[in-house]
Amino acid sequence: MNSFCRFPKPAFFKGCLKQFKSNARMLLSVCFLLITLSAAAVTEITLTTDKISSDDWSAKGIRLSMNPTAQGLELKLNITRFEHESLSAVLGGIEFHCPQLQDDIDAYHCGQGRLLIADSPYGPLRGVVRLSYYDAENFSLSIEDLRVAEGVLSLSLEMDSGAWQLKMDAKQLALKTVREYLDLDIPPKDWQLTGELSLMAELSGSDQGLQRIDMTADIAHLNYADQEGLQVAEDGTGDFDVSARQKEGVWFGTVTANMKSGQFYSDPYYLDLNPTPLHLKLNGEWSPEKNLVLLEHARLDLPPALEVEGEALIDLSGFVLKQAKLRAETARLDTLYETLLQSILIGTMVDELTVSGEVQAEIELTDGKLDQLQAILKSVSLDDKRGLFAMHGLSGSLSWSNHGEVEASQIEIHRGHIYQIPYASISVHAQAQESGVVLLKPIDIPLLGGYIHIAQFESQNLLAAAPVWETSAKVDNLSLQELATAFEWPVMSGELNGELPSMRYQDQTLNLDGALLIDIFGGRIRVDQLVVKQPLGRVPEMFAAAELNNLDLEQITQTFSFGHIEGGLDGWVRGLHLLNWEPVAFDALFHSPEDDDLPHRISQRAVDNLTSIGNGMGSGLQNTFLGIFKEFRYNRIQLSAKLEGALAELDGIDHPDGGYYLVKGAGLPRIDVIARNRRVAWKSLVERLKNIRVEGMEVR
Amino acid sequence: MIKESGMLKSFLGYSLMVLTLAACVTINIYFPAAAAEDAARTIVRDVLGEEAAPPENQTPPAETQEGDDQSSHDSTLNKFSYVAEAVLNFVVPVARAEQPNIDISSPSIRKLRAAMSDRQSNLTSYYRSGALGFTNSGLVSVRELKKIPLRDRNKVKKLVVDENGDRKALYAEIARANGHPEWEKSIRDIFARVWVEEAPKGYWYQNSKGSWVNK
Repeated sequence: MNSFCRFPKPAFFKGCLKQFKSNARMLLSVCFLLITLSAAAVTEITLTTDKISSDDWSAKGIRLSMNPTAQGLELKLNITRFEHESLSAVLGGIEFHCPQLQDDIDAYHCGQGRLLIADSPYGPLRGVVRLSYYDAENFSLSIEDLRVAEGVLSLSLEMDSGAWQLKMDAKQLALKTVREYLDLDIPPKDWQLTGELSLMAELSGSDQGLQRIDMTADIAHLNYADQEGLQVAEDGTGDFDVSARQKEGVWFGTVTANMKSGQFYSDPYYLDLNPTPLHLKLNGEWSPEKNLVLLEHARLDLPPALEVEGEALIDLSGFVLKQAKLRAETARLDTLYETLLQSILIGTMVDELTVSGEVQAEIELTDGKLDQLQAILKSVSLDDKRGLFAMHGLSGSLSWSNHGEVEASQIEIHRGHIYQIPYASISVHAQAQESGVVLLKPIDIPLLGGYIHIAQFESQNLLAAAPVWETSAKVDNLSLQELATAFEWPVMSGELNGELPSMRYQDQTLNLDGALLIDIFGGRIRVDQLVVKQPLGRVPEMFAAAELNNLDLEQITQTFSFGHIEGGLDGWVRGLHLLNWEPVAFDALFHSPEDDDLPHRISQRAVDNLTSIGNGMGSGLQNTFLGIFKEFRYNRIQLSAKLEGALAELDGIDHPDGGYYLVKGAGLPRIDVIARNRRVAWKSLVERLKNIRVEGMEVR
Repeated sequence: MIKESGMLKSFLGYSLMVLTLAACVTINIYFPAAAAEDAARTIVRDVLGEEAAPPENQTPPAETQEGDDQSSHDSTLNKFSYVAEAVLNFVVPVARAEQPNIDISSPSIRKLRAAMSDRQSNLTSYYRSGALGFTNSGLVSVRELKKIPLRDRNKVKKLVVDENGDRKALYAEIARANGHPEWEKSIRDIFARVWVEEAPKGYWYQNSKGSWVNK
């Protein structure tokens, strides 16, 4: 132990005062005796003794000298070594000099005493002492300008029939030294600490101990840091007020703190108070016996980010928020997000948002855990900076509880987008459950000129690290033209419809049962077996299968300006695997329908483009006599492609001399497109597709 | 009994030989360590940009050289296994000749490389100060938070999370793009070594025991 006084313990005051009174009584009795002697014309008396001791203190090398003067008695007391059980270390080189100890009718006064303690755990202590002594229960003692902890401390003690009052005025005490002197662990001793503390305090009490504290403290240039740098303050400045009364063992009072400037980091939170000071006011009671703090009213202002007020019961033994009811409000969700929220969201999908809006919330906590939440959102916008999603004009109310009946939540989203697909106003009526949400009304998401209709939604652990949700959806009349516009594809027409009886999201994977039906190019594409892994992640992964029925090649080729082909097209794609929306595997077959009623014609340009897909070079038809023909008839088109890893395996209609037909001609002039290479690097194939320059479209 | 014991010994001996041969095959045929290392070096130099250590200054840390590279011989191989390996290599020279190259040109890999290159300039000063270091698992870690100014800490933490997300995705994608998702761990190990080798002097890295070392 390194403490001079175990400061906040009331027992100390009681003990110290008792000791003071008994020592003062002894000292002043001696003085009284000597004054009496002085009256008997003794000029100077010096008493020396090697040691005086009692049960709890001892003094060595004592020398007391008195010199009667016209103004009173000059008193000098020297003690070489002084020990007391309440002191952690020995005091040495004590010199007390009172030039005028005056004898009043019923009191002794020393107006300008000087005290020097040359050797103390706190370094040399020097100060001016004033003393008025009536009796052991009534006296006043002040020590001024005591140089301690690199600052100046003045103390004043008034004893009035057993009641006492201690006043302290400290200026620019070094916080590190104060922590050391008082053996405090705030902040912990292994943390770096610098800063200055100035305070004015009035403490009062009786033999029963400390009864009242009124204190105003200023802290300047506060710097602290733990070993790892997880808790840091830089150049903090603030002031604190404490006003507390003790009644029957319970303290009642108010604590206010105004942190005016400085940077604070408490992992992971960072606060820069320079533009926005922090105000905290706590009003309540503290029961040392139960180690409980009841905050009847607490208020935290962190303008403009946050205002919180409420009530709380705190168990100091484990620093557990046993019960709390808080009301929080922010008119600047952007500042709150940047100041506090973003730091705890790093690594999640919402760690890079542009945020705005207002939120009011009522929160109830029990044993440190969220018990109940009610929030009102006003004009909230959440916009992912990576462009993955956005929600604008979010308004409404949210209710959540982990027990009992919960009020319905209603949220309106004015508009937003997912990827590049914009959506219009969405209305969500739902009821929160302990770990999920149940829809009270179906949700219609208007997008791409149609709707996605969500009839039900079930979820678990929605706010946890591994959320699970399941829904069913009906896709109704989505416009492919608008989809194409959103993704800057060539203009195409058609509709996307579908029934997805189950969409389940678990382990960051979205599994879709059912099928999407895309009515496009005069036919239909059915997409099923849809699985999307990490849909909003770094490298989204998608699996699917598709079936193509009766597509009109004329519409397709017009859309992609591939050349002109007339005829139908059937086909399938199995095992489609997209990584970051790029195909990395699939097995596909496209061919003319067996009983195709449409005319089969192919333009010279289309032949050229098909040929270049097959071998990387155009057909060069225009340089032959066939160049005079703009179109040719064909019997059948067929292309199969199987991508695995970096290689694509191509095939068509078997050709007897090896190779395979991509286009098997018909009539005259007859043209066949025959490819020879069956294995081609996927990269090369994509390059070939890119080289087919199509108007208004970029092949990526 | 003696004869049986001798047969047992020879059976065990042959079994050991077969196992050792099999081990050699696994090491030398299936994972193209040299090609993976070339690919890793290309990517790492590209990402580090001007920060990458000039080739003449490369001083590979000793602890990453032994036992990390799957193309090197396992330290447990004895003379017998060297002979067995030589026999195997004589019998199946094609296997070595057919080692595939490592393809790092997929769009996903390009995207991840570009993201990492763009991020690099924001990380450089923290690598240099020792606030961040390269871990022995091919990732980046906050080594000394104290060296990051308070106002930049969350920004740097996000950079680290994003960088690690890209690195993990990159290792997985290289393995996948080359048709062997099971190579991810081997590719990550090679990257872990190459990041350190290519890092300039003064960067911090974690050695195989997890201790931080200043290069």
